[in-house]
Order: sequence, then C-alpha cells, then structure tokens
Amino acid sequence: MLVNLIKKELLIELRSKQILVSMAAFGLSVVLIFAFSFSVSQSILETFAPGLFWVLILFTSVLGLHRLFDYEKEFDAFSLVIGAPVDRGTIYISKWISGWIYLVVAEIIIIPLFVLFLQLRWTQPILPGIGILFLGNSGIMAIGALISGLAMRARMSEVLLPVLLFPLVTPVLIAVTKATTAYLNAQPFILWQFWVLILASFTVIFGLLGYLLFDHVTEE
Amino acid sequence: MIELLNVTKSFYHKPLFRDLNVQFESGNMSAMLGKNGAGKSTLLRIMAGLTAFESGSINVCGTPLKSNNPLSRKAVLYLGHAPGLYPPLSAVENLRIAAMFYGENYSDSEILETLSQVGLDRQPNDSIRIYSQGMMQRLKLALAILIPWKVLLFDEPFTGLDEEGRILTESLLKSWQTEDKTIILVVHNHEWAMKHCDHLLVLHDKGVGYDGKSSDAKSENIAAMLQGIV
Repeated sequence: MLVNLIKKELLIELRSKQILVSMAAFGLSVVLIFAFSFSVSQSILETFAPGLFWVLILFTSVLGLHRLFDYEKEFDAFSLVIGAPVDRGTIYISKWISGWIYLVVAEIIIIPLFVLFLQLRWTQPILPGIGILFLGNSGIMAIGALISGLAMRARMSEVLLPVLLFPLVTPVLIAVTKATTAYLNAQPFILWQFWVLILASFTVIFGLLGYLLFDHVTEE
Repeated sequence: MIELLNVTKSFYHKPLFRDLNVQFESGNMSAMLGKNGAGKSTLLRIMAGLTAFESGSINVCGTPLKSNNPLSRKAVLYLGHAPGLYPPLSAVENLRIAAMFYGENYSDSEILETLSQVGLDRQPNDSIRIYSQGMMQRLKLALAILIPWKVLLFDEPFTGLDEEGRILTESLLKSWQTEDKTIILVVHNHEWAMKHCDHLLVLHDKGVGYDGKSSDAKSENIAAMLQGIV
C-alpha cells in the first residue's frame, strides 16, 4: 500500500505541478536575492553559507509541505483515503517520502545555483555531502509531514504550519548546519558525528511519532 | 449491518446528540432525516470512521469501528457531500486510485465500462476539476459500483443530478437494496424516503425523533419534526 500511496502523490504532482514549480521558483529567487544583496568578503560568505543554505531549504520545504495536504482538502479527497481500509500511519509515511522526493528534486535545481551565484568552493568528496542532505531532508520532512497533517484542518493552515514547524525543526536545523559546516571545512568525521547522531535521532523519533500519532491527527 | 451503542458527540461542548442507539440492518435501505444542523452528516462521518465521537461504540458487520484498525473500515464506503476525489486527476485515475485503497485492481477498460454505465464516458481522461456537481455525483456512483462495500453511507445522493441521473441513482440504489447490503442515505425529502426506504431515522432534539420501519411512520409526524413543530 505504501508504494501505491507514494505513486498517488507523485501522479497528482505530475498532473498539477504545483509543489515542484513553487519550490524551485522560490528557491531560485532566494538564491538570487542572496547573491545580489550580500556584499561581504568571500570568507565570511563561506562561513555563513551552510546556515543560509539550510534556512533556504527550510523555507522552500514549507511551500511543499503546505501543498502536500492542501489538495487533500480541496474536494475533501482526504475523506476517501482515511475512510478506506488503509493504515493511517502508512499515509503519513507516504507523505513523508513524497515530500522528501520533492525536496530532493528542488535541491537538484537549487544547489548548483547556490554554489554558482555565491561563488562557493566545494572541494570535499561528494558522498558525505549527499549523506548530510539525505538526513537533513529526512529530518525536516519527518517533522514537517506530521505538522502539516496537524495544521491541515485549521482555518489558517498556511500560517499555523510555519508557526508550529519552525520551533520543532530548530534542533534539526542546528545539527544539519553544524554537520554541513564541519564537512565543508574538511573536519574529521569523529568531530561532527555527534551532530549526525542528533539528526538521525530526531528523524527516527519524529518518524515514529508521526506513524503512531497520525491516526489521531487525521480524525476530525 | 451497522450498530451504534450510546454514541455521543458534541461540538465545542454543545451536544449534537446524546446516547444514540441505532441499528441499521443488512438488506435495508435506511434514510436519515433531520433539520439542518441536526447532525445527519456528522453521524454519517462518524460511522465512516472519519469523525471522532466522545463515548459509545460502533460495530460494523460485527467488527468494532476503530481508527487504528483499518480492517474495521473495509466494509464501509462513504460518499460525502463533497466530491471526495482528487481534482488534478481524471475520472479514470481517481477511480483506479480509490479502488486501490480498497485492495481492488481494475483495468482501464473495466473502469471505462463503469463510467459509461453512469453516463460519464465522454471525458474520462480530463481532470475532474471541470466536472459539474451532477457529474461528480455520477462519478461517486461509479465508485460505489467498483468498490465491494457492505455498508454504503451516502450523503444527499440526488444533489445536482438531472432527471436521468436521478433515475439512474434510484435504479442503482434499488439493485443494491436487493443484495444483502446496508445502505444509509442522508436525504431531505421525507416523502421520497418513506416511499423508497425500508427504515427511517429522524434526528431530532439532540436524539432520535423516530427510528423504525418507514411503513410504520406517519408522514405528518415526520414532517412536523422536520419543520420543528414538535
């Protein structure tokens, strides 16, 4: 059922193209704003780049997270899926994974432009960087999919989502920024493995919480 | 069969209904009536497992309805007031996805055949966003044909339908009535309900105003309850 639910999410996005287009367009415009508004030395920019990048990714993910549940309530389509004999925890996992896929696709567009426009040097091996991205995206989306589901039925869900999400996602953002900084500065893994563990722990804890609580989150 | 035992539901601490005890038998078509705000649609959503209730229990074909037990919803098909389908997708895609949620796989030709049965075979691959209300109602009927339900919860089945659609809906309901299935409709026309349904449930004054065979009900009493005279 999980695979079918993810297929459904991707099919809807393929037809509507709302999530990816808005995420990529937003990410691109923020990169351009960063590129043209900062007049600081390259070393300062490189110091702040990991933080800027992850804040950009967080804001971009909010757009996707909002739409992730928004189309479910447009024609009350959510009643079809939660009224069906489908495990509601699996619905959460499908939202988490599809949100993660959208974020990765948006990052494929955003990252090269971020590096290019901010004239950053990226000399480190790519694999640990992909690992950090994987965990960072997973952490943001694990918390985001749960909060987005929670905020869906609220009247001002677009306001409620960031208000609830940002405080909860802060530890993930700190950990992923610290890990990215250490990785870009070529520090040995032993010095930043703590942040990776924090990141992985938050992802697992919120993933499990989402799976277990989604029953209650979806009920009116 | 669906059985409600002491079901209580409130909204913002104001009771909608208290200690509701109702039984909807298999092979019966039941009509739920009541004034606006009596809680008909809410009760339907409660029976579909979509809305939580404060106390009591609900048994669907002998299985207690629980949010954390997906199998307890296996026998139920809820067709609400809203379309309940995905607007960016076509009728074929929506039906395929909905059937998949119930563990059914249909080929495109089977889905197209069902769409033609409900008179929707002209735009099967267009987004349902362009559908009128009547077309949406027909699409819901196609859903009810494809999904193997035992309990059908249908909120206002005739809304937006033209005469042909109304006849089609009535004939489908009648054919399902002959099978050993439970059909629960929310309707506003009590005369239609008394004529076509086996069982009537009138929600009145935070409880049950009438619960029994439609043949035993008195039209003027039902009308008085619906008009708030009683």
